[in-house]
Amino acid sequence: MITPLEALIGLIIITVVIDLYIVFRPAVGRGAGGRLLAFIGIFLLPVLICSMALGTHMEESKRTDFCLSCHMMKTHGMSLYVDDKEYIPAVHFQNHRIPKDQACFTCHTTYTLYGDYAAKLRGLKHLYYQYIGTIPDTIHLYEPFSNRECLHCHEGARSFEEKSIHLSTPGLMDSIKRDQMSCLSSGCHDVAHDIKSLPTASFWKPADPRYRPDGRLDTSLMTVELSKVRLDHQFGPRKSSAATSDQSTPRAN
Amino acid sequence: MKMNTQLNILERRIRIAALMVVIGLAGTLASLLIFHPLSFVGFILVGIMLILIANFYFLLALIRGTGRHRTEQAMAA
Repeated sequence: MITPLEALIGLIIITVVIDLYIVFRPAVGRGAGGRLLAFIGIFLLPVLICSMALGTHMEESKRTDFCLSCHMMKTHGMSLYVDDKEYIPAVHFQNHRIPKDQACFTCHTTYTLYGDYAAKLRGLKHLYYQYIGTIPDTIHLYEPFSNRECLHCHEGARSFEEKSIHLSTPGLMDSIKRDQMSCLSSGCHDVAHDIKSLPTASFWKPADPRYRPDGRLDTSLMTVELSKVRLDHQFGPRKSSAATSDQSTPRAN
Repeated sequence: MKMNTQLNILERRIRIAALMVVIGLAGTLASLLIFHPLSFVGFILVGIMLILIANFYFLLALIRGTGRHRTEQAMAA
């Protein structure tokens, strides 16, 4: 079975062959048939390839590995393995409430019409900070975490709708659904990626090797990263920028 | 003679456009083989940009070439 990526690569090779034929046999453009071939090889197929490749890149950029390929994000990736039920991302990740391969993207995209593209545009800005600009000591969300991202999965679920605490106060459920009361910042589920507490945290070590941290989050790197976090924790941040809530600070989504 | 030169200009433009598409596609292929944030940027800056420029150049060449050819034919008639 041919995968979409293989099909795309095949299409690219076919188009390159057509275009090289046009480059080395320019006389082909004299006839109507030749011009049609040039139209297919220079316009039609490349446009199709570009749209397919953009889709492939968009899908691949949703992967957890992709997000964690930036150095700054590794500690956030590690927080998915914290052995503490209070850690919202860890509980979701470890219990497969979100896809393991798209752990970051599932919660950090806006579930709107162009949410994916907006997140990727912000991602380009992050790339600038990673390679050219200065990475801030503490990263913040661009805007308060919307309940919409939680309700995308939880709304309608029995465990959410019938939870006694959600029904304890009249109007509470309604204000949650209207995003008037934040799930996170209201103080109910406020432990997200608490990076500062990582040095004292214990980590989940799955017995099944398939669920262990892979790639850049392997155990050895985790120790290295943790020691670095411990150093930051004990001796203060690496850079001496004071205000973490400064509006000019680049924020991450 | 004039018509011949006209065809040569058109051929040359089509050739340049085809060459740009080949380079753009090579960049796209490379970006698809390694998925990394930088390869995504490379795809946009090299792949998409070159292919869009080539498309525009090719269409412009066709429009101009056909337009001049028709004008010359009308003048000859």
